[in-house]
Amino acid sequence: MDIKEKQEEKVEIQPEQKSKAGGLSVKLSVGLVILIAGYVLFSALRNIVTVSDVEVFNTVFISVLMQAFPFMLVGVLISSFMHVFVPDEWVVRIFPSRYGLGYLTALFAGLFFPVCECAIIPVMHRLVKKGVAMPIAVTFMLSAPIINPISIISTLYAFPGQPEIALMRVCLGLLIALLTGLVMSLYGKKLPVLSESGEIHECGCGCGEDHDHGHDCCSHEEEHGHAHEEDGKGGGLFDKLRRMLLHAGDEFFSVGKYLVIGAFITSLIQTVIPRGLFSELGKKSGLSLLIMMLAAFLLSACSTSDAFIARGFLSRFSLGPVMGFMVFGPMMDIKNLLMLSNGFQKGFVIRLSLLIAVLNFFVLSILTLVFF
Amino acid sequence: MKKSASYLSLDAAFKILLLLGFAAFFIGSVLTGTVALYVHKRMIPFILFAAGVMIVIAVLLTGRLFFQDGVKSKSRALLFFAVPLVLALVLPAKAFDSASGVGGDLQLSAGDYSAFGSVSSESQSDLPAASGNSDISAVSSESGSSQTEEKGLTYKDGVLIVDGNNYYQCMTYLYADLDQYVGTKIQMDGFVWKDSEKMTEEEFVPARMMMVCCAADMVTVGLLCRYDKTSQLAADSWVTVTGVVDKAEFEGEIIPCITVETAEETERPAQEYIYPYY
Repeated sequence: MDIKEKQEEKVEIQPEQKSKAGGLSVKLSVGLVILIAGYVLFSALRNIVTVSDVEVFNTVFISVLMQAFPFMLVGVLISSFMHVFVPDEWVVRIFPSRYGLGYLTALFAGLFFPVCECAIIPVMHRLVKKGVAMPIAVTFMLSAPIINPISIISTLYAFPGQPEIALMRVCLGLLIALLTGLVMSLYGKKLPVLSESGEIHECGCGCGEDHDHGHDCCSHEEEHGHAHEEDGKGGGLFDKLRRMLLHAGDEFFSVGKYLVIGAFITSLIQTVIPRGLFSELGKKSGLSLLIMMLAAFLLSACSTSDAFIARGFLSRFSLGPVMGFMVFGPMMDIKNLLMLSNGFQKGFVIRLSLLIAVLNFFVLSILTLVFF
Repeated sequence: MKKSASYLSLDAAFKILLLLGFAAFFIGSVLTGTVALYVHKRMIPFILFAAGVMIVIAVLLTGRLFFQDGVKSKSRALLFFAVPLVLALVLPAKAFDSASGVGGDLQLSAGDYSAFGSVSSESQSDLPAASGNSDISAVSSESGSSQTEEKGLTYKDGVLIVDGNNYYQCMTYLYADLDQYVGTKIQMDGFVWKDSEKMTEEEFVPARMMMVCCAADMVTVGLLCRYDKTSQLAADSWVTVTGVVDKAEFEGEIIPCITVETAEETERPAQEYIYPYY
């Protein structure tokens, strides 16, 4: 774990070294660091971990990606479609800045996006770039994975005969999503939004070309290898489709990187920490709600399937903490956190996740006190 | 990355390779069936769709292979994609059926019996609620076969046959309406699961791994069995159990149990996992 984290830190520092000549040596050194880290990790674990464990880890890791990549592709395709085909004004009209209405759309738009949180983040990012108010976009991001039809159906199946659990999950999800949005709107425009100059439509890549460019190509560490005419406006339908797909490809690689890291960490945690440990911890400490929220954060299960994992916890936890697992999990976990940090300022992402965590904790605590 | 006429873009080339690699892995795993060890079958259309999109993007990316003046390329981050791709292609998918040895503790819920326990607790609270069955019969009617059946359960000569397709419905019914099924003859496959801490020497579970979405959310399921020759069964070996449904008290709860008449060794089923719904 430690070593993996170190790798990440190393990588995050890299973008500052922008000298062209350094490009290759940076690549080499990162490669070298990974090799060394891998070797140290391998020799450290060699005695405890068997080949079978590695295979288990690998299977979990690959399966998370196999499950997440298609959804993420859907997400980046929707995002790119909006980028290329949908004028900003339309999007803003659907999510009007007159707050009341915008929140309403944000809360229920998820019904029409039958995708999980992996797909929502690129879409939400796009909404913000298109000019949708940040609190509304955040409300959308938080509610969509919970209100999406697949999640609701899987919750119904996971708790047969108890539709009230699914209903409660949806209501709590909507409530917390709305609260988060409202709290954010109190801070208003003071909030930093996109990372660095994400919304400035100019490209700092030295070409000097003037093109409309919602694409935050150079403002952060996104790879940037595209030819420039691709992001220009105009062109026929076929050309637009081509641009959309290429743009989706770029987003896939920039967001996907974080998905891969998140999946790696999650799989490692899943393989190393038996799920029963969370149950044991919760039983002993009495902090069951916090433990369940932590479990949701660390396990990073997909919102479309976490109800079944939650059900496994129900034998040792009361419904309150299990609800915490099902409501907080889709809103914030390792994968989401990393994916969000691609495109939004790190400080903002951290504050947002803390806000979501705190709101979840309070709402569920109150609920637990009142109902259970 | 020098600035001059036209150079081969490593970035684009690498991306094309990665996209085609993932697409090939996705399609290959669907063709060979190993996809079932990674994700739920309902994901297959999504996976094929993803492979298709990846191929299209890869083809379009060929237009960027030769870049012009002034385009920087940073392919460093692509290493993150190379790692899983290489792992996926090199290491085989692990079938999580066995709970043996050191690996057992690490195998997610294989080491955790709570999923099983939860079925009982949840379904018991479910007993008074008559609405419980409405959801489930909807599922079973979709996947039900044309054999002699009742509520989607298959009976063969009066014996309730629990197989990979109706497994989850059977479990749900048995736990929800136990009284109705006591005395029913039942037959099911599973790998022998023993737990010396929680179970007596006569008890075991013919267990199956249930995949809800992907390999990261596997849970162990099964029915408690009582069999006087349990000690002769090797843990993790696949058996076909035939017996009669009964009630049993387990860890303070009343749950279904099978009084076993015969337990015969059998082959590992082609479809190892249980996929609860579509």
